[in-house]
Amino acid sequence: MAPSHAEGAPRGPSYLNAEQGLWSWLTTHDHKRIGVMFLAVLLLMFLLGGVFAMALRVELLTPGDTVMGRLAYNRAFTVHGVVMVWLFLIPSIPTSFGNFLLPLMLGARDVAFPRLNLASFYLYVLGATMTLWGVFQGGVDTGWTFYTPYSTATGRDLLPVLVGVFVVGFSTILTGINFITTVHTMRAPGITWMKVPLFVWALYGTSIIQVLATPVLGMVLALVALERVVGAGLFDPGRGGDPLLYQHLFWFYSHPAVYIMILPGMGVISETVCAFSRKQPFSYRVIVWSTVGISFVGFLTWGHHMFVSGQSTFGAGAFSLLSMLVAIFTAMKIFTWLGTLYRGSLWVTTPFTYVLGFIFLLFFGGMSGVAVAVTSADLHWHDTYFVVAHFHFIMVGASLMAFLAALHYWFPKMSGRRYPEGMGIGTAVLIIFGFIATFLPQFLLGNMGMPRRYADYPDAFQPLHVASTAGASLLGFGFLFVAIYLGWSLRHGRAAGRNPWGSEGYEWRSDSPPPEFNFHAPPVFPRPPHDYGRPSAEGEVDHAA
Amino acid sequence: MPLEDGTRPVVPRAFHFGDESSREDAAHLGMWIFIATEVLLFAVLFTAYALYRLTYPDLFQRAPAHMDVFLGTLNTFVLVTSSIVVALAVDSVRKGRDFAGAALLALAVLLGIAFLSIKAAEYAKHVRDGALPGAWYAYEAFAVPGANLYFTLYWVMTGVHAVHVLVGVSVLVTLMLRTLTGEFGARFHTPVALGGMYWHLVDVIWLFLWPLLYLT
Amino acid sequence: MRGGARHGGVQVLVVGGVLLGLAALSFGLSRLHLGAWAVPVALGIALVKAALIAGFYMHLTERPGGPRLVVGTAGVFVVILVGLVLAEASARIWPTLPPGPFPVTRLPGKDVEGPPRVAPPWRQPP
Repeated sequence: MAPSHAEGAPRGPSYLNAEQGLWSWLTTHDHKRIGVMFLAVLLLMFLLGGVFAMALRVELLTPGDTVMGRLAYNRAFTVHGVVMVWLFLIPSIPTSFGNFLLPLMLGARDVAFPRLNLASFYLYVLGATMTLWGVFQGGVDTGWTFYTPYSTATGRDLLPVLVGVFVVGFSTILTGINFITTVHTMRAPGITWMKVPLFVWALYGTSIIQVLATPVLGMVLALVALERVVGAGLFDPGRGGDPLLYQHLFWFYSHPAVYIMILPGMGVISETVCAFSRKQPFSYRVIVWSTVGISFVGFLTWGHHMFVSGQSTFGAGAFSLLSMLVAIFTAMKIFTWLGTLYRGSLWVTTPFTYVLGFIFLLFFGGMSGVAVAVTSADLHWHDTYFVVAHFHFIMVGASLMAFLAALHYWFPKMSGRRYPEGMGIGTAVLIIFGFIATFLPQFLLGNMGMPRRYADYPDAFQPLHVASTAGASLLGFGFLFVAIYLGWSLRHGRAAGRNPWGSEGYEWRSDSPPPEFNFHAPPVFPRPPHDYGRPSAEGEVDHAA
Repeated sequence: MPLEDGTRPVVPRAFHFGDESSREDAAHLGMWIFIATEVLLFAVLFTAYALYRLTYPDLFQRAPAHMDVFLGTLNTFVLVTSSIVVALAVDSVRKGRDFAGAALLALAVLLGIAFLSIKAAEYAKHVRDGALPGAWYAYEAFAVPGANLYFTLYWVMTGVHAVHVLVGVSVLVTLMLRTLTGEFGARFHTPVALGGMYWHLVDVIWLFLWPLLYLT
Repeated sequence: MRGGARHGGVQVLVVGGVLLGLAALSFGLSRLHLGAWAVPVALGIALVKAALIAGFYMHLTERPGGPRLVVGTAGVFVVILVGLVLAEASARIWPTLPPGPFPVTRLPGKDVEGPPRVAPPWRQPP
C-alpha cells in the first residue's frame, strides 16, 4: 500500500518555512530544526579542527620549527584533538542526522522529549563555548586525553576545559536518553523491533553507549578537577594514589566513545548500501546483532590503550583478546555490506562513492587495529604514528566518510534541493585519495619509529611527512569544494522532489523537506525498511543527474 | 490499557504521544535511563574505592574506627525512613489524596534536611580532627600510607551523595508545592512518581556507601 | 498505572519494615567482625535492599520491558567496570605504587595556598 500522500508535490509549508525568523529557530522544539542547528554548529567545529590539523601538517613539513615552536605545537594538537573528538566526532552524526531522521524513520511526530532535545542543543553550545574559551585562554597543552599526572601538574589553567567537556558530555547524555526512549515508545504501529530501519538500530546502540559511558567520563573529569583544586591524590603516586586508575576510568568511556563515533556511521552505510545497490540488506539480523554486539564488546576492550602503562600481564592479555572480538563484529558488518553490493544494481552517486571509500578505509583501519591489539606488536607501535594512522583511518576514513555520505544522501531530504552530482563524485574521489595520501605514509612513519606528538623529527623522515602534508592539502581542498557546491545548492540547486534516490527508507515517505509534523497523515509502513525486493509503488527515480 | 478511574477524559500533556499511557511509559523509561547514568556516575567512585581497598586492605579495615559510626547509622535510618515516607506520599497522590501526599512530602523534606544536618555535624568533626581530603590531610591519629586516600574517597563519595540529597530535597519541595496547588492527583501524577524515584535512588546509593565506609 | 492502585500503603509499610530490619541486621553483623566475609555480606544485604526499593518503591514490578532492561544493563556495566579494573589490578606481579610511609604533616601543599601546581622534584633512589 502506498502512503496516503503518494503524489509528489508537497502540500503546505515545510518545516523550513512553517515559521519564520531567527527566534522561531532558537526556541523551536522541532527535532528537524534542532538537527539542522546542530549540523551548522558541528560544521563550524569541523572547520576549526580542520584548520588546526592543517597547521600541524604545515609544521611537520620540515624538521625543526617550520611555523611554530614546540609549545605552540603542543597547544595546536590539543585544540585539534579536543575539537575534533569532543566537539565534532562524538556528537556528529547522532545529534545532526540522528535528530533529523530518527522520528521520521519511526513514523513519529517528534522525539520523546522535545524540550530536552532543545536543552541538549544549548548545553552543547554552552559546553563547546566553554571548552574553546578554556583551550585558548589557558593555552592547554595536555592533548585531548588529559592524562594524569601531566594534566594535574601542568601550570596551564585546565578547569574551564574540564567543565566544558563535562557539559558537552551531559548534552550527549540527554540526547541518548531521548533517542532510547523514542525508539522504545514512539515507533509507529507496525514497526516492530525487527522492522526498525538499520540507521535507527545504529543510533540505538550508540545511545546506549552514550548513556552508560558518558557519566563515567564526567566523574573522571570531576576527579581531575578535584586533583587540581585540593590535590586529592587519587591519581598521584606521591600520595599513595594509582595513576593507572585514571587511565582505566578514562578509557572506560573513551574507548566506547570510538564506537559512539563509528556506529552511527555504520548505520548510515547500512542505509545507503541498500539504497544504491537496490537490494535489501544481505542479512538484516546480522547487522542488527553486530550493532548490539559492538556496543557491548566495545566496553570490554579499554585496556588495550594501556599495554605499556604498567598494567598487569594478565590484564593486557585479556584486553588484547577481548579487543579482537570487536573485529569479528565489524567483519560481520563488512561482509554483509559486500553481500548486499554483490549482484546489486549499483548506482554510482556521491553518497555511494563515500560508501565505497568507507568500506575500504574501515577495512584497512580495522585490520591495523587488530595488529595493534596484539600486545607484542603494540610494544613497538605504541605512541608512534602507526597508532595515529590507525585511529585516523577509523575516525576520518570511516566516521567522516560516513558523515559525508549522510550529508549527501540526506541533503535533498533536509533542504529539498539537489547538488551537482558530477561535482560531488569528483570531490568524493579527491577526498578519498587525499585521505589515503595523508595517512598511509603515517603507517610507514610509525613503523620506522616516528613518535606521535613531536614537532621535530630526523631528516630521514621528511619525504613521508611531505607526502602526508600534500595529502592533507588535497583533503582540505576537497572539503572546500564540498562547502562551496553544497552552499551553492542550498540556494540554487534543482528542486529534489520527494524521493530523488528512489529509496525505500521510511524517511522518504514524507515530503522533502518534510512538513512541520513530519507527515500529513498518520503514516503506514506496510513493508519492512530497505525492501527493494519488489518493484516500488513510487518509482519517481530521477536519473537525470 | 484502562485508565485508573476513568471518570474524566484525559488531558493530553504532550501532544506528540498517541495516548496517555505511552506518555507515561516514555516518562518512566526516560527516568530509568537517567537513573542508570547516575548509577554509572557513582560506579566510578566505587571503582576507585575497590581499587584502593585492594591496594591497602588492612587500612580500609581499620578505617571505620576513625568514623562516627553512630551518626552514619543514624543517617541510614533517617534516609530509609524518608524513602518510606516518599513512597507513601506517591501512593497517596495516586489515590487522589493530594493533601496527605503533600504533608508526607513535607515530612520527607524534613528528614532530608535532618540527614544533611547530621552529615554536616559529622563533617565538622572530621574538620576538627584534620581528616581533610587530599593535600590538606593532617589527621595524626591515622597517619599510615593511604589513609589520606581513604578520607579523600570518603569526602568525595559522601560529598557527591550530599549534593544529590540537596537536589532531591529541592525536587521534593517543588513537588510538595505543586501538589498543594492541586496540580497532581489520581489522573496525573507522573512528576511525583519520577521525583520519588530520584529520592529512592539517593537512598539506594547511601545504602551502599554506608556499609563500605562505616561498617566493614 | 498498570495496576498501580493495588499497591497500597500497607505494602509500602511492609517493605519499609523489611528495609529497616535489614539495615539493623547489617549493623549488627558488622559488630561480629566477620573478617573476609564482612564486605560480601554487607554488599549482599545492600543489594537486597536496593532490589526491594527498586521493585516496590520505584515501581519496577509494575513496569516490565524497557525499565527492567535499563536497570539490568546498568548493573552489568557496573560489574564490568569494577570487575575488569580489579581483575587487572589484582594480577599485577610487582606493585605499581611506591612504598610509603608518607608523613601526613609533611605533605606538600599544606603550607601554601592550594595544592602544588608542579610535580615534586625528582629524588635519586638510594
